[in-house]
Amino acid sequence: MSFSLVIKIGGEGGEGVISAGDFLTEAAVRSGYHVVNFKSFPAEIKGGYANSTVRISDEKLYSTGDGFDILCCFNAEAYAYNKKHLKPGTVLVYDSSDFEPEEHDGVIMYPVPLSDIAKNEIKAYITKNIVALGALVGLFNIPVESLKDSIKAKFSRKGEKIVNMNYQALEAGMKYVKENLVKKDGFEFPPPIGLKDVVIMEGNQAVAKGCIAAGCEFYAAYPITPATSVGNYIVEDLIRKDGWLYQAEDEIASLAMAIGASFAGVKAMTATSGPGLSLMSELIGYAGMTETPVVIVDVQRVGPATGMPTKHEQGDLYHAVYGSHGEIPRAVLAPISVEDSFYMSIEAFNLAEKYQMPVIVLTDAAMSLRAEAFPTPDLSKLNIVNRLIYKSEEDKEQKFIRHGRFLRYALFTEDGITPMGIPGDPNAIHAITGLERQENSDPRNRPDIRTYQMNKRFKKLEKLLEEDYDRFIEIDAPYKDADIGIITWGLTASITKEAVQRLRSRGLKINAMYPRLLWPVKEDVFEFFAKSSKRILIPETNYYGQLATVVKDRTHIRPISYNIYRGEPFIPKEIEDIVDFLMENQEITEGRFTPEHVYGEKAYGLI
Amino acid sequence: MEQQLELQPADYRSDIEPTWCPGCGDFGVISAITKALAELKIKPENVVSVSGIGCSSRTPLFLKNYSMHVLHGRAIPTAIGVKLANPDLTVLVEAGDGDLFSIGSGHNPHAARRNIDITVLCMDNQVYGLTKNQISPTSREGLYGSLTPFGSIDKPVNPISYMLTFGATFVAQTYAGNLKHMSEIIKKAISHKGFSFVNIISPCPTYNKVDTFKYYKDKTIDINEQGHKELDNLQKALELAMKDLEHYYNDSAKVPIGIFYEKEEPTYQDRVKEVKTKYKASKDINPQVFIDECKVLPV
Repeated sequence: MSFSLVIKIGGEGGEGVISAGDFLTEAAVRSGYHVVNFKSFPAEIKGGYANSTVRISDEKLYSTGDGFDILCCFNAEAYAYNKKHLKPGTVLVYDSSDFEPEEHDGVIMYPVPLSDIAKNEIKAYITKNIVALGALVGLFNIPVESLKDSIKAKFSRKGEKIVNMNYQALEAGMKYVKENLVKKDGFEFPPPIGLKDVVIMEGNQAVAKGCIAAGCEFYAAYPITPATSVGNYIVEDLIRKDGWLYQAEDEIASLAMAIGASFAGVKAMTATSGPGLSLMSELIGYAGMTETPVVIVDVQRVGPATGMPTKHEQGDLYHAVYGSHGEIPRAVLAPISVEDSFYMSIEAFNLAEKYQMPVIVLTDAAMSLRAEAFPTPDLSKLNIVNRLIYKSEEDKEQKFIRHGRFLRYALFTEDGITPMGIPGDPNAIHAITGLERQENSDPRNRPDIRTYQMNKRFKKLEKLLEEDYDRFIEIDAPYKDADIGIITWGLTASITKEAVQRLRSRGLKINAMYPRLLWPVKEDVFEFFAKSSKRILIPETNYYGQLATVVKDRTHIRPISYNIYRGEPFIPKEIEDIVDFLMENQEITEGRFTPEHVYGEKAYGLI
Repeated sequence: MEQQLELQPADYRSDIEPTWCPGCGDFGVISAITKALAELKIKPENVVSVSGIGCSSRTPLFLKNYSMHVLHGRAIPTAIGVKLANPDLTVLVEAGDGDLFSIGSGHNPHAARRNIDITVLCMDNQVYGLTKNQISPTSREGLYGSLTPFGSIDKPVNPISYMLTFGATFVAQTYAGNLKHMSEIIKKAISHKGFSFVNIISPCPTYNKVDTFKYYKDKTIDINEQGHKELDNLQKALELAMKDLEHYYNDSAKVPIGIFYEKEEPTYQDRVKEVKTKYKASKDINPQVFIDECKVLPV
């Protein structure tokens, strides 16, 4: 890659750290560059350490990198958190009116009295973050007009005075740097190339926008970190679209309401995190059994029980695939990026509506707080699927009516899909029940009826594999005989993409497969991919290797799984390191590995 | 134009024969529901019956309307979903005392306080019947159950006072042995704009040998006939409600039936409408608008 710059800003929560990162993100977009931004809030409601990492590049990147190039510390706490990552060649910009750092070999230091400038020159301590941005502009040539536009876009509602005060703060930071510091590093922002037609969204926002684009009209919510903001982002859009968000009394009620709304004829959803998904288990089975379309978004966090509510883990795949007693048809989708979260949310509704079943979307805590700029989606070009609804006038032979009863669960359709009757229609009156039943919904315990109805429900998945599966599987396999084939999912897939680029540029033959649809599984696709590689590696941020388990269950592949479960996503370097480790240890062909195998006791030093 | 034929109670009955034991109170309840719907002239296709699990929760399957036989305890939230998705539907919950006051009891306060316009009919037989005789939250002290062979040592809940304090805007009690009273009360409950709750004493002839039709025959007393007319007086309603369980402890005490409380208040849907007006809600808005709001625009 030609240009990539990672700037990390840290400080006290509430000091404008996060908004400084947001301004920087938007300024990069206004200058025409690609950007990924990852925010981390303190666990406390007020105060505590917050940070924002912004990665700017001239080609689409998939991670926030291995570490920062430039660290900007608003206070001593932020410095204390990050000092072990100050490596030779990195830059530290810090508030010299607040603290003095230790000596760091090879680290370039720029002291800037951020607080003093804000207090004494601008007479507004609140502008400290903008002074800091000014310093960064002065030091690294960040396009100042783009930054000014971002500030104006944000503050113009508050009046010219506020905009001008912030401009002054920006200029004060720039002036200080120019007059007092000599540039000693090589980091330089390239000249702006112009704003493109893009949107900036956070992960949970992309989910919300995708769901509304898919036609969602009802959302039942129960607050839970880190899923709550899906609701925050969708609530007003839903109302404007004449839909509604209902804050339920618990997650069980949420899913029950979504199922009720879906039965009444509208596209319905709920979003939650692991603990909520556990509570919803029984109703997921009910939705599958009654063939009611519903979308459940699980923004995964560290489990089990309360775990680490704000931290990343890919620990709910088992639950999404196998959770709930008995067996039902379902689909499990996992977007790999923020942009993907938008499109996969639409796909979730499409699959739920087409196959009349629950669809679970797995994102995670890190993805939820990640912002990306991506090309503005054009809804007129997207395929939106609606459920098959019974229309009496189209059923000339009255095939779906027997003895005056509507056959909601008719067994004679080839693909197992039967039209739904919507309340209000006098010709399709019927019951749905969680009991096994015959075609007209009458409960029955008969072995033949049970078998036929099970087959009917699962036939729908056969159709899905036939008609809809392939577009969810991204295969990047340029080599016929790759050293290693990596299969991975979710955010880990994004990070792996960057590692794969680096490994290939070093001459290694690495193939990769990124499935977005994790259930059902088309065995042939996996096995065909596996044939192109000597060994299969599945990195995941969970203990057991949950995708690895599914792959072992459904295919003949015996993968090497690589697992971390510390509450953080991988960095690309770690994927590189496990591949290097496997290249040095050719005898390893399967099994479960952790950083201890790769780094020995040093493994914990990395954390 | 073909003349619209009058709807009859039979028009609301499906051809599935109830699986209840002979002599079950729920036969009477289903007659009262169909009578009430026919008299209110609500078309079957515009009624959604929602239930949980239990003997009484089979009711929706025996009715000819749109029906959701859901999971144990989850009838109320499911019914709320239906009503919010399509406010034009008449939504009934037909469930039992176990469903509504044990496993699903956490849903009651929220449906009631938000005044969601659904009608909850609790078929209260004071016992778990489908699982073959266990005490329920409304069982009297001393009642035998398979898990309490020593006789219940639990105090029963009082459904009427619960629902009153949760903020239900229509609360009544009726008795499966009195079809006329039952259908009149159910009619009023369905007609009430807002959350309505009716506790229906519906004896189980198989597993509850104490609270039987015979027991209730001369026990009930119509509070409205007895002079309770000031129906929007919550204080009075609560006073009457507190006497509901007295007969468990005092042989001479009566079982109050009738409307305890009825008050017209804005429903949840009324408030939703207000919010939507403020937001200028419209089905016609192109969702591309919501995407474009995330665009980075030149300033």
